[in-house]
Amino acid sequence: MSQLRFHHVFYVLMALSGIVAFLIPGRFVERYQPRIEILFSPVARPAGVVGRMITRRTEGTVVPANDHRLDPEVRAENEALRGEVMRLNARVAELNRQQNELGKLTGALRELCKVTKVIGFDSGNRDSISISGTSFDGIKQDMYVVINGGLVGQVARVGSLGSQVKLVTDPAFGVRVKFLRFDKEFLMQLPIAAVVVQGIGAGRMSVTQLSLANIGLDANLKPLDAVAGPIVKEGDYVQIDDNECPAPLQGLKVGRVVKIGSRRGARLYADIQIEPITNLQRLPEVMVMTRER
Amino acid sequence: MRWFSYFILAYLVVGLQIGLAPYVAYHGAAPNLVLLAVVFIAVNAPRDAALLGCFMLGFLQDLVTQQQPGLFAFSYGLVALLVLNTQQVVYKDHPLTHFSLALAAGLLTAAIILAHGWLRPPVLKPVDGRGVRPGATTELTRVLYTALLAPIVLGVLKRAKTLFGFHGGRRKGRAW
Repeated sequence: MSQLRFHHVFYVLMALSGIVAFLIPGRFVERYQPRIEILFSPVARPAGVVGRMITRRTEGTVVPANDHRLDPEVRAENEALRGEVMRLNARVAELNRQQNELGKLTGALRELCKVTKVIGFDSGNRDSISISGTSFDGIKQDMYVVINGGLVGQVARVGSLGSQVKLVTDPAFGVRVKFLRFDKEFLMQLPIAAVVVQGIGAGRMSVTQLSLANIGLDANLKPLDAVAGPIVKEGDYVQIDDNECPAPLQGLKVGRVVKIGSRRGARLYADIQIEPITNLQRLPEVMVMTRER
Repeated sequence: MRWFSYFILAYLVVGLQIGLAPYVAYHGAAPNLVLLAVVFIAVNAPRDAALLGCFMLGFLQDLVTQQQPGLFAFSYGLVALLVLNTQQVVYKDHPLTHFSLALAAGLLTAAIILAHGWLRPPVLKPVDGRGVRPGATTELTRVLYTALLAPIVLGVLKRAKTLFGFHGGRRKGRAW
């Protein structure tokens, strides 16, 4: 008679899961992990729709805490933005005309993307979303995911029953960015070299390589130049400036500065916290950039 | 334990977790509904069924998260062992029991997740480097939030207890 008892099997399973979780590097395990997100969509998607309806009614428009602009100011900025978009469109058209090869490469970002539905959010403590797009739809690992408002993240895992997208706010995501500001009507690039912004979870990103002096602040977070003010301040935008990213993504919005403090453990360095423009965890659909040109 | 009812519960709870989490999150911390199902199973089911049931819930959650696979299966297995040891000494249907067990289970899970984050921090992509290690604040908020929900969720599940046939296996002297 077999001496194998249930608790032997259980402890073997526990040991295996412990080894997989703590000892084997993630990149080896991920290859064999099945993606089954789509199986849960009959429950997850209706739940998400109900959640979206309720939060839309109760929250209304989400206004950033530090946004104290009045309606006329917002309208004026919108007008300025329209003008800027028109100017940039004209500039892109001109560049396309001048460089035929480059003309093939660019074009509306939407044309390079495949729209796919979001099934749900990460069931653990990471910042990721599950999408219904699969390997059969041409989705591959490391493809970028965008919405009209900016960058969403990067495909982390693909399977035949769904895929997982790591959001820009996930601790495993980092990208080079530059800072921009809308000063009244004009878009102004701030005099700071491209830096790495990385996700810190809970819907936020952070830039920690800059010293306080680099962004025009002293150790007490007061501006070095009282007249000009700090170089980076709350409300400034960050956009992609990374050679590793495909050309159509350059200049895409990543988020907005929401808080500037000093880094824990390195008081002379800044901790610039950034939030995406929209709540990336509540998106009904996203676009996966399946082609780069 | 009736495994058909168990699988329906597992399917619903994982589906609700991935569908509802961002809408009920508080300061970036969403409650862990799967953990509440784990506590429910561990408190009520016979020993072997509870151990396997909790482990499988963790395994299922591992399949729909970006965390390293095996992490939740391992955590919930330990939670099951912890809760099973208290089965005889707690009043299973009392809200305070639900709260305290969910709190203890949440703290254990959070400790494992934080330890994993510290031992194996995420690798940054597309730039090179190491990702930020997880902060304890969000995890502790999640634990407290989940524990506060426990009396409500487990109170609802308590009413459906007969569907799971928790006592059937015991009377017959076998696990399932």
